Amino acid sequence: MIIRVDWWWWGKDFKPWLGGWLTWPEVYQLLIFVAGYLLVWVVVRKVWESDSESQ
Amino acid sequence: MPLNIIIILGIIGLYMLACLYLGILSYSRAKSTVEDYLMGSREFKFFSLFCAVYATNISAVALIGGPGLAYHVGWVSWAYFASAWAWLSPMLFYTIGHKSWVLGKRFGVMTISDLFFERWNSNFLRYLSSALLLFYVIPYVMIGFIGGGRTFFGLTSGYIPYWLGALITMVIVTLYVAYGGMRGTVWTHILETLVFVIGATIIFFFVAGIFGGFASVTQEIVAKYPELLNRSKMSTKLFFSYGVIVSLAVPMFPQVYLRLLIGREPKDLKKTILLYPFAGLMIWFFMAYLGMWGHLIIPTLKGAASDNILPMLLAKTAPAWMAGILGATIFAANMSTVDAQLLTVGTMFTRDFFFPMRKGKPIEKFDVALSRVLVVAFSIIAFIASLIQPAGIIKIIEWSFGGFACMVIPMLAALYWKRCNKWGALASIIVSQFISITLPIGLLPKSIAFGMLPGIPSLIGGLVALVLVTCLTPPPEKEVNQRFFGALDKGQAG
Repeated sequence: MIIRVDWWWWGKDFKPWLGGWLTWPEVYQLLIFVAGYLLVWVVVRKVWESDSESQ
Repeated sequence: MPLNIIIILGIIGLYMLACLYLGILSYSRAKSTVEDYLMGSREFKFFSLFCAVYATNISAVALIGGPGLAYHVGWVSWAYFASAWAWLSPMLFYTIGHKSWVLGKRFGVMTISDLFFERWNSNFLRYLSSALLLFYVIPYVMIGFIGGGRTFFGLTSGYIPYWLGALITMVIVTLYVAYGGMRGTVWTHILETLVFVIGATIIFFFVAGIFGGFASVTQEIVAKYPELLNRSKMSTKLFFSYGVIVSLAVPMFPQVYLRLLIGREPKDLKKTILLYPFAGLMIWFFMAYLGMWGHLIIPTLKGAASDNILPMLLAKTAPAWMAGILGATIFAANMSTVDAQLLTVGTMFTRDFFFPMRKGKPIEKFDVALSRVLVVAFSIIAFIASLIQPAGIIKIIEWSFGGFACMVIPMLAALYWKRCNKWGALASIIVSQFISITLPIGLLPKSIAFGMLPGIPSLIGGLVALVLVTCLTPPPEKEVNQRFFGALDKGQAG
Protein backbone atom coordinates (compact mmCIF):
# COMPACT_ATOMS: atom_id res chain seq x y z
CA MET A 1 0.00 0.00 0.00
CA ILE A 2 1.01 3.55 -0.49
CA ILE A 3 1.88 5.23 2.77
CA ARG A 4 1.00 8.84 3.23
CA VAL A 5 3.69 10.84 5.00
CA ASP A 6 2.27 14.29 4.47
CA TRP A 7 0.00 14.57 7.51
CA TRP A 8 2.48 16.77 9.36
CA TRP A 9 2.43 19.52 6.76
CA TRP A 10 -1.35 19.43 6.36
CA GLY A 11 -2.61 23.00 6.85
CA LYS A 12 0.82 24.63 6.48
CA ASP A 13 1.53 27.27 3.84
CA PHE A 14 3.73 26.43 0.89
CA LYS A 15 4.71 28.69 -1.99
CA PRO A 16 3.89 27.65 -5.54
CA TRP A 17 6.83 25.66 -6.82
CA LEU A 18 6.25 23.74 -10.03
CA GLY A 19 5.83 26.19 -12.92
CA GLY A 20 4.88 28.88 -10.40
CA TRP A 21 1.57 27.02 -10.11
CA LEU A 22 1.64 23.86 -7.99
CA THR A 23 2.80 23.75 -4.37
CA TRP A 24 4.81 20.84 -2.99
CA PRO A 25 1.75 19.17 -1.36
CA GLU A 26 -0.02 19.26 -4.72
CA VAL A 27 2.97 17.66 -6.41
CA TYR A 28 3.18 15.10 -3.61
CA GLN A 29 -0.50 14.30 -4.09
CA LEU A 30 0.12 13.77 -7.80
CA LEU A 31 3.02 11.46 -6.94
CA ILE A 32 0.68 9.40 -4.76
CA PHE A 33 -1.57 9.08 -7.77
CA VAL A 34 1.38 7.98 -9.93
CA ALA A 35 2.36 5.36 -7.33
CA GLY A 36 -1.25 4.14 -7.21
CA TYR A 37 -1.31 3.97 -10.98
CA LEU A 38 1.88 1.91 -11.05
CA LEU A 39 0.20 -0.53 -8.70
CA VAL A 40 -2.77 -0.79 -11.08
CA TRP A 41 -0.38 -1.28 -14.00
CA VAL A 42 1.53 -4.06 -12.24
CA VAL A 43 -1.72 -5.81 -11.28
CA VAL A 44 -3.13 -5.63 -14.80
CA ARG A 45 0.07 -6.39 -16.71
CA LYS A 46 1.75 -8.88 -14.35
CA VAL A 47 -0.63 -10.37 -11.74
CA TRP A 48 -3.59 -10.70 -14.11
CA GLU A 49 -1.48 -12.33 -16.85
CA SER A 50 0.15 -14.84 -14.49
CA ASP A 51 -3.21 -15.44 -12.82
CA SER A 52 -4.66 -16.59 -16.14
CA GLU A 53 -1.61 -18.62 -17.12
CA SER A 54 -1.48 -20.51 -13.80
CA GLN A 55 -5.07 -21.79 -14.12
CA MET B 1 -35.80 35.49 -25.14
CA PRO B 2 -32.30 37.06 -25.34
CA LEU B 3 -29.89 35.89 -28.03
CA ASN B 4 -27.35 34.46 -25.56
CA ILE B 5 -30.03 32.17 -24.06
CA ILE B 6 -31.04 31.02 -27.54
CA ILE B 7 -27.38 30.15 -28.29
CA ILE B 8 -27.07 28.22 -25.01
CA LEU B 9 -30.32 26.33 -25.63
CA GLY B 10 -29.27 25.64 -29.23
CA ILE B 11 -26.03 23.94 -28.15
CA ILE B 12 -27.75 21.91 -25.40
CA GLY B 13 -30.57 21.01 -27.79
CA LEU B 14 -28.11 19.77 -30.41
CA TYR B 15 -26.42 17.57 -27.84
CA MET B 16 -29.73 16.12 -26.63
CA LEU B 17 -30.96 15.43 -30.15
CA ALA B 18 -27.69 13.61 -30.88
CA CYS B 19 -28.28 11.39 -27.82
CA LEU B 20 -31.81 10.67 -28.96
CA TYR B 21 -30.62 9.86 -32.48
CA LEU B 22 -27.99 7.41 -31.18
CA GLY B 23 -30.48 5.71 -28.89
CA ILE B 24 -32.99 5.22 -31.68
CA LEU B 25 -30.27 4.22 -34.15
CA SER B 26 -29.08 1.50 -31.76
CA TYR B 27 -32.61 0.06 -31.83
CA SER B 28 -32.01 -1.03 -35.43
CA ARG B 29 -29.23 -3.34 -34.17
CA ALA B 30 -31.31 -4.83 -31.36
CA LYS B 31 -32.24 -8.50 -31.04
CA SER B 32 -35.42 -9.42 -29.20
CA THR B 33 -33.67 -11.04 -26.24
CA VAL B 34 -33.32 -9.95 -22.64
CA GLU B 35 -29.58 -10.56 -22.83
CA ASP B 36 -29.32 -8.14 -25.74
CA TYR B 37 -31.63 -5.47 -24.34
CA LEU B 38 -30.16 -5.43 -20.81
CA MET B 39 -26.53 -6.36 -21.55
CA GLY B 40 -26.02 -5.52 -25.25
CA SER B 41 -25.12 -9.22 -25.78
CA ARG B 42 -21.88 -8.52 -23.81
CA GLU B 43 -20.08 -7.63 -27.03
CA PHE B 44 -18.53 -4.24 -26.30
CA LYS B 45 -14.92 -3.64 -27.18
CA PHE B 46 -12.41 -1.51 -25.28
CA PHE B 47 -13.38 2.06 -26.18
CA SER B 48 -17.13 1.46 -25.82
CA LEU B 49 -16.56 -0.36 -22.54
CA PHE B 50 -14.31 2.39 -21.21
CA CYS B 51 -16.85 5.09 -22.10
CA ALA B 52 -19.67 3.04 -20.57
CA VAL B 53 -17.87 2.58 -17.24
CA TYR B 54 -16.40 6.10 -17.13
CA ALA B 55 -19.50 8.02 -18.19
CA THR B 56 -21.66 6.00 -15.81
CA ASN B 57 -19.36 6.85 -12.93
CA ILE B 58 -18.83 10.55 -13.68
CA SER B 59 -22.03 12.33 -12.78
CA ALA B 60 -23.03 15.96 -12.46
CA VAL B 61 -21.43 15.83 -9.00
CA ALA B 62 -18.07 16.18 -10.75
CA LEU B 63 -19.11 19.32 -12.62
CA ILE B 64 -21.26 20.91 -9.92
CA GLY B 65 -20.25 19.49 -6.53
CA GLY B 66 -16.52 19.32 -7.39
CA PRO B 67 -16.07 23.03 -8.21
CA GLY B 68 -18.53 23.87 -5.42
CA LEU B 69 -16.38 22.15 -2.81
CA ALA B 70 -13.13 23.53 -4.24
CA TYR B 71 -14.58 27.02 -3.98
CA HIS B 72 -14.54 26.60 -0.17
CA VAL B 73 -11.62 24.22 0.48
CA GLY B 74 -9.28 24.78 -2.48
CA TRP B 75 -7.31 22.39 -4.65
CA VAL B 76 -7.51 19.57 -2.08
CA SER B 77 -10.98 18.96 -3.49
CA TRP B 78 -9.53 16.95 -6.39
CA ALA B 79 -7.41 14.90 -4.03
CA TYR B 80 -10.44 14.38 -1.80
CA PHE B 81 -12.52 13.04 -4.67
CA ALA B 82 -9.94 11.36 -6.84
CA SER B 83 -6.56 10.56 -5.34
CA ALA B 84 -7.60 7.20 -3.88
CA TRP B 85 -10.62 6.52 -6.07
CA ALA B 86 -8.77 6.98 -9.35
CA TRP B 87 -6.61 3.92 -8.70
CA LEU B 88 -8.27 1.93 -5.89
CA SER B 89 -11.56 1.55 -7.76
CA PRO B 90 -9.80 0.26 -10.90
CA MET B 91 -8.01 -2.27 -8.68
CA LEU B 92 -11.42 -3.50 -7.60
CA PHE B 93 -12.56 -3.53 -11.23
CA TYR B 94 -9.94 -6.24 -11.59
CA THR B 95 -10.42 -8.15 -8.32
CA ILE B 96 -14.23 -8.06 -8.55
CA GLY B 97 -14.99 -7.12 -12.15
CA HIS B 98 -12.94 -9.72 -13.96
CA LYS B 99 -14.22 -12.69 -11.94
CA SER B 100 -17.77 -11.38 -12.23
CA TRP B 101 -17.32 -11.08 -15.98
CA VAL B 102 -16.29 -14.77 -16.11
CA LEU B 103 -19.39 -15.70 -14.11
CA GLY B 104 -21.50 -13.53 -16.37
CA LYS B 105 -20.34 -15.49 -19.40
CA ARG B 106 -20.88 -18.83 -17.59
CA PHE B 107 -24.11 -18.29 -15.63
CA GLY B 108 -25.52 -15.14 -17.22
CA VAL B 109 -24.87 -13.08 -14.08
CA MET B 110 -26.13 -9.50 -14.55
CA THR B 111 -26.40 -8.04 -11.06
CA ILE B 112 -24.62 -8.17 -7.71
CA SER B 113 -27.53 -10.13 -6.23
CA ASP B 114 -27.35 -12.57 -9.13
CA LEU B 115 -23.79 -13.36 -8.17
CA PHE B 116 -24.72 -13.81 -4.51
CA PHE B 117 -27.38 -16.30 -5.57
CA GLU B 118 -24.96 -18.30 -7.72
CA ARG B 119 -22.46 -18.38 -4.87
CA TRP B 120 -24.73 -19.23 -1.94
CA ASN B 121 -27.90 -20.57 -3.56
CA SER B 122 -30.08 -18.34 -1.37
CA ASN B 123 -33.05 -16.51 -2.81
CA PHE B 124 -33.49 -14.62 0.46
CA LEU B 125 -29.96 -13.22 0.14
CA ARG B 126 -30.71 -12.28 -3.46
CA TYR B 127 -33.91 -10.40 -2.56
CA LEU B 128 -32.41 -8.68 0.47
CA SER B 129 -29.26 -7.46 -1.28
CA SER B 130 -31.19 -6.32 -4.34
CA ALA B 131 -33.81 -4.50 -2.26
CA LEU B 132 -31.06 -2.68 -0.36
CA LEU B 133 -29.25 -1.66 -3.53
CA LEU B 134 -32.49 -0.47 -5.11
CA PHE B 135 -33.26 1.48 -1.95
CA TYR B 136 -30.04 3.43 -2.52
CA VAL B 137 -30.03 3.71 -6.30
CA ILE B 138 -33.64 4.73 -7.06
CA PRO B 139 -33.32 8.14 -5.34
CA TYR B 140 -30.31 8.83 -7.55
CA VAL B 141 -32.50 8.75 -10.65
CA MET B 142 -34.60 11.46 -9.05
CA ILE B 143 -31.45 13.48 -8.30
CA GLY B 144 -30.51 13.26 -11.98
CA PHE B 145 -33.81 14.84 -13.02
CA ILE B 146 -33.46 17.50 -10.31
CA GLY B 147 -29.99 18.27 -11.73
CA GLY B 148 -31.47 18.59 -15.22
CA GLY B 149 -34.20 20.95 -14.05
CA ARG B 150 -31.83 23.16 -12.08
CA THR B 151 -29.23 23.32 -14.85
CA PHE B 152 -31.82 24.40 -17.43
CA PHE B 153 -33.20 26.98 -15.00
CA GLY B 154 -29.74 28.34 -14.11
CA LEU B 155 -28.31 28.50 -17.62
CA THR B 156 -31.41 30.16 -19.11
CA SER B 157 -31.87 32.59 -16.21
CA GLY B 158 -35.28 31.07 -15.49
CA TYR B 159 -36.64 31.16 -19.06
CA ILE B 160 -36.92 27.37 -18.83
CA PRO B 161 -38.67 26.69 -15.49
CA TYR B 162 -37.39 23.97 -13.21
CA TRP B 163 -40.25 21.55 -13.91
CA LEU B 164 -39.85 21.89 -17.67
CA GLY B 165 -36.09 21.33 -17.47
CA ALA B 166 -36.62 18.18 -15.40
CA LEU B 167 -39.32 17.02 -17.85
CA ILE B 168 -37.11 17.55 -20.92
CA THR B 169 -34.28 15.61 -19.26
CA MET B 170 -36.66 12.81 -18.28
CA VAL B 171 -38.26 12.49 -21.72
CA ILE B 172 -34.96 12.42 -23.65
CA VAL B 173 -33.29 9.92 -21.30
CA THR B 174 -36.34 7.67 -21.08
CA LEU B 175 -36.78 7.57 -24.84
CA TYR B 176 -33.26 6.46 -25.65
CA VAL B 177 -33.01 4.04 -22.73
CA ALA B 178 -36.38 2.43 -23.45
CA TYR B 179 -35.61 2.21 -27.17
CA GLY B 180 -31.96 1.28 -27.15
CA GLY B 181 -31.47 -0.58 -23.85
CA MET B 182 -27.85 -1.24 -22.97
CA ARG B 183 -26.64 -0.68 -26.54
CA GLY B 184 -28.42 2.65 -26.69
CA THR B 185 -26.92 3.83 -23.40
CA VAL B 186 -23.41 2.71 -24.37
CA TRP B 187 -23.58 4.52 -27.71
CA THR B 188 -24.73 7.68 -25.98
CA HIS B 189 -22.01 7.19 -23.35
CA ILE B 190 -19.40 7.43 -26.09
CA LEU B 191 -20.83 10.77 -27.15
CA GLU B 192 -21.26 11.91 -23.54
CA THR B 193 -17.68 10.99 -22.61
CA LEU B 194 -16.35 12.97 -25.58
CA VAL B 195 -18.58 15.94 -24.74
CA PHE B 196 -17.63 16.23 -21.10
CA VAL B 197 -13.94 15.44 -21.53
CA ILE B 198 -13.51 17.91 -24.42
CA GLY B 199 -15.90 20.44 -22.84
CA ALA B 200 -14.11 20.36 -19.46
CA THR B 201 -10.71 20.74 -21.14
CA ILE B 202 -11.83 23.75 -23.19
CA ILE B 203 -13.35 25.45 -20.15
CA PHE B 204 -10.28 24.75 -17.98
CA PHE B 205 -7.79 26.34 -20.38
CA PHE B 206 -10.17 29.16 -21.29
CA VAL B 207 -10.61 30.22 -17.66
CA ALA B 208 -6.88 29.86 -16.94
CA GLY B 209 -6.30 32.17 -19.90
CA ILE B 210 -8.67 34.79 -18.48
CA PHE B 211 -6.48 35.00 -15.37
CA GLY B 212 -3.29 35.27 -17.41
CA GLY B 213 -2.13 31.67 -16.94
CA PHE B 214 -1.65 29.15 -14.13
CA ALA B 215 1.19 30.97 -12.33
CA SER B 216 -0.61 34.28 -12.41
CA VAL B 217 -3.89 32.95 -10.99
CA THR B 218 -2.02 31.02 -8.28
CA GLN B 219 -0.18 34.20 -7.22
CA GLU B 220 -3.54 35.89 -6.80
CA ILE B 221 -4.78 32.99 -4.66
CA VAL B 222 -1.61 33.14 -2.51
CA ALA B 223 -2.17 36.85 -1.94
CA LYS B 224 -5.91 36.80 -1.24
CA TYR B 225 -6.96 33.28 -0.14
CA PRO B 226 -3.91 31.29 1.07
CA GLU B 227 -6.23 28.91 2.94
CA LEU B 228 -7.30 27.50 -0.44
CA LEU B 229 -3.76 26.23 -1.00
CA ASN B 230 -2.82 24.83 2.42
CA ARG B 231 -5.65 22.29 2.97
CA SER B 232 -6.58 23.81 6.33
CA LYS B 233 -10.28 23.72 5.38
CA MET B 234 -10.32 19.92 5.06
CA SER B 235 -10.00 17.55 8.03
CA THR B 236 -7.57 14.69 7.52
CA LYS B 237 -10.05 12.16 8.99
CA LEU B 238 -12.74 13.20 6.53
CA PHE B 239 -10.23 13.16 3.69
CA PHE B 240 -9.04 9.65 4.51
CA SER B 241 -12.44 8.10 5.19
CA TYR B 242 -14.04 9.63 2.09
CA GLY B 243 -11.24 8.27 -0.10
CA VAL B 244 -11.77 4.75 1.25
CA ILE B 245 -15.56 4.82 1.11
CA VAL B 246 -15.82 6.23 -2.40
CA SER B 247 -13.19 3.88 -3.77
CA LEU B 248 -15.00 0.84 -2.36
CA ALA B 249 -18.46 2.13 -3.27
CA VAL B 250 -17.83 2.74 -6.98
CA PRO B 251 -17.55 -0.91 -8.11
CA MET B 252 -20.62 -1.67 -5.98
CA PHE B 253 -22.77 0.97 -7.67
CA PRO B 254 -25.15 -1.46 -9.43
CA GLN B 255 -24.94 0.56 -12.66
CA VAL B 256 -21.11 0.46 -12.67
CA TYR B 257 -20.91 -3.22 -11.67
CA LEU B 258 -23.29 -4.17 -14.46
CA ARG B 259 -21.10 -2.39 -17.00
CA LEU B 260 -18.02 -4.31 -15.89
CA LEU B 261 -19.77 -7.40 -17.27
CA ILE B 262 -20.51 -6.21 -20.80
CA GLY B 263 -17.03 -6.38 -22.35
CA ARG B 264 -16.38 -8.83 -25.15
CA GLU B 265 -13.03 -10.13 -23.84
CA PRO B 266 -10.84 -9.71 -20.73
CA LYS B 267 -8.42 -7.52 -22.68
CA ASP B 268 -11.18 -4.93 -23.09
CA LEU B 269 -11.56 -4.64 -19.32
CA LYS B 270 -7.77 -4.55 -18.89
CA LYS B 271 -7.40 -1.58 -21.21
CA THR B 272 -10.34 0.13 -19.53
CA ILE B 273 -8.69 -0.26 -16.13
CA LEU B 274 -5.43 1.20 -17.43
CA LEU B 275 -7.06 4.28 -18.95
CA TYR B 276 -9.63 4.91 -16.24
CA PRO B 277 -7.35 6.43 -13.54
CA PHE B 278 -6.08 9.18 -15.86
CA ALA B 279 -9.53 10.05 -17.14
CA GLY B 280 -10.88 10.08 -13.57
CA LEU B 281 -8.10 12.28 -12.26
CA MET B 282 -8.37 14.70 -15.16
CA ILE B 283 -12.00 15.63 -14.66
CA TRP B 284 -11.68 16.22 -10.88
CA PHE B 285 -8.39 18.06 -11.32
CA PHE B 286 -9.87 20.51 -13.83
CA MET B 287 -13.03 21.05 -11.80
CA ALA B 288 -11.16 21.67 -8.54
CA TYR B 289 -8.98 24.42 -9.99
CA LEU B 290 -11.92 26.02 -11.78
CA GLY B 291 -13.86 26.15 -8.50
CA MET B 292 -10.88 27.56 -6.60
CA TRP B 293 -10.13 30.20 -9.24
CA GLY B 294 -13.81 31.15 -9.27
CA HIS B 295 -13.36 32.42 -5.70
CA LEU B 296 -11.28 35.30 -7.09
CA ILE B 297 -14.08 36.64 -9.31
CA ILE B 298 -17.12 35.78 -7.18
CA PRO B 299 -15.90 35.75 -3.57
CA THR B 300 -19.14 35.94 -1.58
CA LEU B 301 -20.88 32.59 -2.08
CA LYS B 302 -21.93 30.74 1.07
CA GLY B 303 -22.60 27.03 1.60
CA ALA B 304 -24.24 25.13 -1.25
CA ALA B 305 -24.56 28.32 -3.33
CA SER B 306 -21.00 27.60 -4.48
CA ASP B 307 -22.36 24.65 -6.51
CA ASN B 308 -23.26 27.26 -9.12
CA ILE B 309 -19.76 28.71 -9.29
CA LEU B 310 -18.95 27.32 -12.75
CA PRO B 311 -22.06 28.67 -14.57
CA MET B 312 -21.70 31.97 -12.68
CA LEU B 313 -18.01 32.24 -13.52
CA LEU B 314 -18.65 31.64 -17.22
CA ALA B 315 -21.64 33.98 -17.25
CA LYS B 316 -19.33 36.76 -16.00
CA THR B 317 -16.30 36.03 -18.13
CA ALA B 318 -17.19 34.02 -21.23
CA PRO B 319 -19.26 34.37 -24.41
CA ALA B 320 -22.63 32.61 -24.67
CA TRP B 321 -21.27 29.73 -26.76
CA MET B 322 -18.93 28.85 -23.89
CA ALA B 323 -21.86 28.72 -21.47
CA GLY B 324 -23.58 26.49 -24.03
CA ILE B 325 -20.57 24.13 -23.99
CA LEU B 326 -20.70 24.11 -20.20
CA GLY B 327 -24.42 23.31 -20.32
CA ALA B 328 -23.88 20.41 -22.73
CA THR B 329 -20.96 19.21 -20.56
CA ILE B 330 -23.05 19.22 -17.39
CA PHE B 331 -25.94 17.47 -19.14
CA ALA B 332 -23.56 14.87 -20.61
CA ALA B 333 -22.24 14.04 -17.13
CA ASN B 334 -25.71 14.03 -15.62
CA MET B 335 -27.54 12.06 -18.30
CA SER B 336 -24.80 9.45 -18.65
CA THR B 337 -25.34 8.46 -15.02
CA VAL B 338 -29.13 8.75 -14.98
CA ASP B 339 -29.61 6.61 -18.08
CA ALA B 340 -27.33 3.91 -16.66
CA GLN B 341 -29.17 3.96 -13.34
CA LEU B 342 -32.55 3.81 -15.00
CA LEU B 343 -31.64 0.78 -17.09
CA THR B 344 -30.02 -0.85 -14.05
CA VAL B 345 -33.14 -0.39 -11.92
CA GLY B 346 -35.16 -2.10 -14.67
CA THR B 347 -32.56 -4.87 -14.89
CA MET B 348 -32.58 -5.47 -11.13
CA PHE B 349 -36.36 -5.69 -10.94
CA THR B 350 -36.65 -8.13 -13.82
CA ARG B 351 -33.56 -10.17 -13.00
CA ASP B 352 -33.58 -10.21 -9.19
CA PHE B 353 -37.33 -10.29 -8.49
CA PHE B 354 -39.47 -11.09 -11.52
CA PHE B 355 -37.45 -13.94 -13.05
CA PRO B 356 -36.90 -15.93 -9.81
CA MET B 357 -40.56 -15.59 -8.81
CA ARG B 358 -41.99 -16.46 -12.21
CA LYS B 359 -43.22 -19.95 -12.89
CA GLY B 360 -43.04 -21.34 -16.41
CA LYS B 361 -40.68 -20.79 -19.33
CA PRO B 362 -39.25 -17.38 -20.19
CA ILE B 363 -40.77 -15.61 -23.20
CA GLU B 364 -38.04 -13.36 -24.58
CA LYS B 365 -40.27 -10.83 -26.33
CA PHE B 366 -42.46 -10.44 -23.27
CA ASP B 367 -39.44 -10.03 -20.99
CA VAL B 368 -37.93 -7.34 -23.21
CA ALA B 369 -41.27 -5.51 -23.31
CA LEU B 370 -41.54 -5.80 -19.53
CA SER B 371 -38.04 -4.35 -19.09
CA ARG B 372 -39.02 -1.40 -21.30
CA VAL B 373 -42.22 -0.80 -19.38
CA LEU B 374 -40.28 -0.87 -16.09
CA VAL B 375 -37.79 1.70 -17.41
CA VAL B 376 -40.63 4.04 -18.38
CA ALA B 377 -42.51 3.46 -15.11
CA PHE B 378 -39.49 4.15 -12.89
CA SER B 379 -38.63 7.19 -14.93
CA ILE B 380 -42.11 8.66 -14.42
CA ILE B 381 -42.00 7.90 -10.68
CA ALA B 382 -38.56 9.51 -10.37
CA PHE B 383 -39.78 12.56 -12.32
CA ILE B 384 -42.77 13.03 -10.02
CA ALA B 385 -40.46 12.65 -7.01
CA SER B 386 -38.14 15.26 -8.52
CA LEU B 387 -41.03 17.75 -8.50
CA ILE B 388 -41.92 17.00 -4.87
CA GLN B 389 -38.32 16.47 -3.66
CA PRO B 390 -39.23 14.64 -0.43
CA ALA B 391 -36.72 15.24 2.37
CA GLY B 392 -36.58 11.53 3.24
CA ILE B 393 -35.27 10.65 -0.20
CA ILE B 394 -32.51 13.24 0.04
CA LYS B 395 -31.48 11.59 3.33
CA ILE B 396 -31.13 8.22 1.61
CA ILE B 397 -28.61 9.75 -0.80
CA GLU B 398 -26.46 10.74 2.18
CA TRP B 399 -26.41 7.14 3.43
CA SER B 400 -25.92 5.55 0.06
CA PHE B 401 -22.13 5.77 -0.38
CA GLY B 402 -21.50 3.92 2.88
CA GLY B 403 -24.28 1.48 2.00
CA PHE B 404 -22.74 0.66 -1.38
CA ALA B 405 -19.22 0.43 0.05
CA CYS B 406 -20.31 -2.15 2.66
CA MET B 407 -21.46 -4.52 -0.10
CA VAL B 408 -17.84 -4.95 -1.13
CA ILE B 409 -17.25 -7.23 1.88
CA PRO B 410 -19.72 -10.01 0.96
CA MET B 411 -18.69 -9.55 -2.68
CA LEU B 412 -14.99 -10.16 -1.98
CA ALA B 413 -15.91 -13.05 0.34
CA ALA B 414 -18.10 -14.56 -2.41
CA LEU B 415 -15.24 -14.48 -4.90
CA TYR B 416 -12.24 -15.31 -2.72
CA TRP B 417 -13.25 -17.08 0.52
CA LYS B 418 -14.52 -20.59 -0.20
CA ARG B 419 -15.39 -21.26 3.44
CA CYS B 420 -17.70 -18.24 3.63
CA ASN B 421 -21.37 -19.23 3.82
CA LYS B 422 -24.69 -17.48 3.27
CA TRP B 423 -25.12 -16.83 7.01
CA GLY B 424 -21.87 -14.93 7.15
CA ALA B 425 -22.80 -12.89 4.07
CA LEU B 426 -26.25 -12.21 5.49
CA ALA B 427 -24.84 -11.12 8.86
CA SER B 428 -22.33 -8.85 7.15
CA ILE B 429 -25.04 -7.14 5.08
CA ILE B 430 -27.42 -6.69 8.03
CA VAL B 431 -24.80 -5.43 10.50
CA SER B 432 -23.02 -3.08 8.10
CA GLN B 433 -26.23 -1.61 6.67
CA PHE B 434 -27.66 -1.19 10.17
CA ILE B 435 -24.62 0.80 11.29
CA SER B 436 -24.52 2.74 8.03
CA ILE B 437 -28.13 3.92 8.42
CA THR B 438 -28.48 4.29 12.20
CA LEU B 439 -25.21 6.11 12.87
CA PRO B 440 -26.03 9.26 10.84
CA ILE B 441 -29.51 9.55 12.40
CA GLY B 442 -28.17 9.25 15.95
CA LEU B 443 -29.46 5.79 16.97
CA LEU B 444 -25.84 4.79 17.55
CA PRO B 445 -23.35 7.17 19.24
CA LYS B 446 -21.40 9.17 16.68
CA SER B 447 -18.26 8.72 18.77
CA ILE B 448 -17.79 5.18 17.39
CA ALA B 449 -16.90 6.73 14.03
CA PHE B 450 -13.89 8.61 15.56
CA GLY B 451 -14.62 11.64 13.40
CA MET B 452 -14.68 9.62 10.20
CA LEU B 453 -17.59 8.95 7.86
CA PRO B 454 -20.15 6.36 9.14
CA GLY B 455 -19.10 4.03 6.32
CA ILE B 456 -15.82 3.20 8.09
CA PRO B 457 -17.36 1.66 11.27
CA SER B 458 -20.00 0.05 9.04
CA LEU B 459 -17.27 -1.64 6.99
CA ILE B 460 -15.49 -2.83 10.13
CA GLY B 461 -18.76 -4.10 11.63
CA GLY B 462 -19.63 -5.90 8.40
CA LEU B 463 -16.24 -7.56 8.22
CA VAL B 464 -16.32 -8.74 11.84
CA ALA B 465 -19.86 -10.12 11.41
CA LEU B 466 -18.89 -11.93 8.20
CA VAL B 467 -15.89 -13.67 9.77
CA LEU B 468 -17.53 -14.49 13.11
CA VAL B 469 -20.80 -15.87 11.75
CA THR B 470 -19.08 -17.82 8.98
CA CYS B 471 -16.76 -19.49 11.49
CA LEU B 472 -19.62 -20.33 13.86
CA THR B 473 -21.89 -21.89 11.22
CA PRO B 474 -21.46 -24.89 8.88
CA PRO B 475 -19.53 -24.48 5.60
CA PRO B 476 -21.48 -23.91 2.37
CA GLU B 477 -22.85 -26.79 0.27
CA LYS B 478 -20.00 -28.56 -1.49
CA GLU B 479 -21.74 -28.94 -4.86
CA VAL B 480 -22.68 -25.25 -5.02
CA ASN B 481 -19.12 -24.24 -4.17
CA GLN B 482 -17.65 -26.61 -6.74
CA ARG B 483 -19.97 -25.36 -9.45
CA PHE B 484 -19.17 -21.71 -8.65
CA PHE B 485 -15.39 -21.92 -8.24
CA GLY B 486 -15.09 -24.52 -10.98
CA ALA B 487 -16.68 -22.05 -13.40
CA LEU B 488 -14.31 -19.34 -12.20
CA ASP B 489 -11.21 -21.50 -12.67
CA LYS B 490 -12.33 -22.66 -16.10
CA GLY B 491 -13.34 -19.18 -17.21
CA GLN B 492 -10.09 -17.55 -16.13
CA ALA B 493 -8.03 -20.25 -17.78
CA GLY B 494 -10.00 -19.71 -20.97
